[in-house]
Amino acid sequence: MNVIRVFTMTLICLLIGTMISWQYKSIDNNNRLVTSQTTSIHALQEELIEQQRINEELEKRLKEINREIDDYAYAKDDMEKVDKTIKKEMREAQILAGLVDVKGKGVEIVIDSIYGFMFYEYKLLDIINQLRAWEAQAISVNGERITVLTEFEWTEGNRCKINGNYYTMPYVIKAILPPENIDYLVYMIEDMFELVTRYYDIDIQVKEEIIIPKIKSEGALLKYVY
Amino acid sequence: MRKNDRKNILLFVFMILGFVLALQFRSVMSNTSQEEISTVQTIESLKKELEREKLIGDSLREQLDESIIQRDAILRNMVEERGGEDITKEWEKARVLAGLTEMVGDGVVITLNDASEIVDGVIDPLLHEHSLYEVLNEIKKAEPVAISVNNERIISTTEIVCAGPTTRINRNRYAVPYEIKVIGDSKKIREAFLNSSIVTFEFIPNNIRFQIKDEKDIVIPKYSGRIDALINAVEVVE
Repeated sequence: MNVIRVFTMTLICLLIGTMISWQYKSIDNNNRLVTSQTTSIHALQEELIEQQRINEELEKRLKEINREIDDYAYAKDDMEKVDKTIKKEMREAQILAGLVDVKGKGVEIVIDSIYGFMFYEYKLLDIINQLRAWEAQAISVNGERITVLTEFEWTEGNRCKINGNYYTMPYVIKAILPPENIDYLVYMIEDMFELVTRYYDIDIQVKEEIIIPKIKSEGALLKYVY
Repeated sequence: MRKNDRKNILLFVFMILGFVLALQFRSVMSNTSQEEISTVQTIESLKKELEREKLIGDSLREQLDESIIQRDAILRNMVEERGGEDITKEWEKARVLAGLTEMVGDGVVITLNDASEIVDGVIDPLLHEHSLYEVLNEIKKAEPVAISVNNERIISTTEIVCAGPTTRINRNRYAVPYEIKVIGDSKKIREAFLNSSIVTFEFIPNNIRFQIKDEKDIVIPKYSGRIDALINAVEVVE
């Protein structure tokens, strides 16, 4: 009789132990579900806000293009307006393509090596991308206009190939960007170089007028076009 | 076993049982609570709203593309009638180089994605923005004609910026996978990409997924954003 009682008690305790463990798992899962649902709500809200922003921009852009269409139709018989429109469109494309010299307020960054440390092309890429992130509208490196297809290639003799031409340090990077972004850009560039100032001499200057030359050779860009 | 011991054990067992029942009750209550139901409803309604906004976005994009085609046709007519052959040629050249025209041609399509699983030795399984612009630089070494990432035309001002789990390209956000379309010499682009240090030292060791395939008649869209916002700080030197 005593053995049966002990056996029954053991069985009950085992069952209760299993139940507690299931219960713990179940509550843990519920908590995880709630956390993931909350995260999911935040992610969805963010995505929704972003999509609404994109839609607003698209709507604005659509209105602008439709207004331009109306303006062009209206200007069709006004030769002066037609000429102005052609000039404006041509200029816009030429600036973006890097086919004309441009000027404006911007920054000049000069990077030189202190003890002959190499400055690889990916570091130049980082700077160029940072300039673009702060909406740089024209960029040049050692007088080479940076276009859509400009490559940075590390080559023999510690040289960097840019637009098919070879350059060594110091690198003089010039960029024209919206004046309201200049301070942020300078801060970011200084931050990028904070830990390497003992290896490189970095000079960043904000200039009221920077001239950025047009692309030196259209060869590589144009060989596929015609 | 004495009678008193049995009672103590039973007391202990029933206390645990009571505790478990209380926990169970609370768990069930929280599962069926109004809060839980409203969370599910919020998720559903957000999903529906997002879907609706995406449809609106697609429709707006279509309308915008049509309007741009119409505007460009009017402009082309203007230039041809008024400017003559030389001006038309110069205008076309500038637009092609600026990325303002759609391009069609043979080339490659490269797909990049985060690592599918974390295996031993993987330091960083995520595809970061710097990897993306380094890949674009490798492609540019092979002298391509035009490049797009997730159908966003790469132009001279295109930024590749980390924006949380996404990447900002031409002020729009994109998440992985990234589909890079390139028109140009397939063989040269393939060699430049596969032999690059980014593939050898970053993608392969970190299990980052990549695929490259040759394709014919790839369509690369033109840049469709606002141009004046990209050139309002510069002035042409006459």
